[in-house]
Amino acid sequence: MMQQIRSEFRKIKTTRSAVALLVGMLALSGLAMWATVKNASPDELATALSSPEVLAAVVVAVPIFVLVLGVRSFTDEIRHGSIVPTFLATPARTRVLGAKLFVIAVTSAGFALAALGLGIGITVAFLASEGIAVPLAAGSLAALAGKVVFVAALWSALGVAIGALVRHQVAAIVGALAWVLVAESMIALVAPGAVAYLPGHAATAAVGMATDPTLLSPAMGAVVLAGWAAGAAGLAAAAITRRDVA
Amino acid sequence: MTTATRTTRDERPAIGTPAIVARNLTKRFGPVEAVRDLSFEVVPGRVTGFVGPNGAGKSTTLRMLLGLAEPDEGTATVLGLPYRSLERPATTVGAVLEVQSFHPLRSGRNQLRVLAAASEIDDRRVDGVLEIVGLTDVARRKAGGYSLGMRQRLGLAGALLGDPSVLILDEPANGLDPHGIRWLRQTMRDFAEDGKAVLVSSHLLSEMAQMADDVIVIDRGCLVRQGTIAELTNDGAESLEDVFLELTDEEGVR
Repeated sequence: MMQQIRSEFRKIKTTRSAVALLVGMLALSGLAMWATVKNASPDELATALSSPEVLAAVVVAVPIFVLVLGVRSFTDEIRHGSIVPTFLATPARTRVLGAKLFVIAVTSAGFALAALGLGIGITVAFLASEGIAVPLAAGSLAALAGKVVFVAALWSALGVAIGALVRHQVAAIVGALAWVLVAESMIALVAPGAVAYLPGHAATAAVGMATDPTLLSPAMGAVVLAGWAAGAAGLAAAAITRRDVA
Repeated sequence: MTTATRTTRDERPAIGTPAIVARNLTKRFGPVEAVRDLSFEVVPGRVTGFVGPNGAGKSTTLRMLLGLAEPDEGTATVLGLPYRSLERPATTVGAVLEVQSFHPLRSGRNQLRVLAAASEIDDRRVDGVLEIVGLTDVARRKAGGYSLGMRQRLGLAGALLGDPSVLILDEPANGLDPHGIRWLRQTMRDFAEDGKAVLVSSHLLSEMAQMADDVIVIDRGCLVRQGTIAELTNDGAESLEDVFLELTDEEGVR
């Protein structure tokens, strides 16, 4: 398993796809963060720096980008045909899946920390420019970082599994994004009782970002999200083991 | 079948013991039987050609040998084991299936480093095989810019990474210029003379006549003939092309 993990890290490091996604995520979340601090009162920011509400702009962007990162782990290989040498080198295909889940989760954790760092940096810089010294609440920031990293890792795992199941790159990315950005909010209208258990809402609950009473508790949200990721990974494992390699 | 009981994987196949055994392979895609009850053996020390018209089931058969496609019936083994049971297959079997199986934005060298890591092969071997296939000068360029011939060479470099005792090549001459074809022929010849096994598919019969010692001819998924080139061509009295057309063109419609 170690050799598959090393191989997957090399795949990530030897193309610019991941870096391009990271840059895109930072640009988007940096912009949104800047808009947030511009529109908030400095006092509000200073007291709430460690609260997810202030950092919502980055917290929201992370899962979307790591989802795409995860989806592309398999679909890039299928698209370019490199899945053939990959499976020839490692015919135990679930090991490839496991290595991808691990490597993409670690990379996604890096994405999450980079986004949070940028969000905090922008806030602190803005406050400093207003002449306000900010006591950084290291403990609560670390707790927030832990939650965002946790959600990012599971969200990326969902992406990896979706990529393995759908196989077609555009279909997988469009489908996954449509689910996150559109489908869950539509389901919320139709079945408000059930929507809290869907992955997007469970992730929102797990970060503890919203005080929406219809959401699950943060702990329950984390459990439900983990269940979705595990279920999707299980389906992906069964599918890649059974299906012929195109 | 004595080969089925072999458990050692890394050793060279003994002369006379088949390196590849296909037994009653059948593969269906919906109502179409792409491969039907196909059995053959490939022995070490010889280059075995695998020929048939386009769509005869050559690639499907090779994919079943390599564990990429699951046969509906029958078995395929390499050195006595199904491919997917091999612990480090790169050290047993080297294969080149598709020409375009590289990420276009990754350098040739990095493609091989990715594979080397997965098979626990020393990175120094990467530069070694790049040298063998003559790609050292372009190794750090993105594979997307490689010519068809360079991609074939890169594929072959990947196949040779683990110093395998069996080579399986699907249409490796595609895209090679005359120098490349001569080089490929010599590479396969050296490989076979080392006591290793080579199975190579092609629809270029004149090439095949010069490359191979033995030939397996299939048509519409079925075995038509298996024998040495000399047997099939009556010691050269007929060309392989004529024999092939006789064997495979009964209905005249392709």
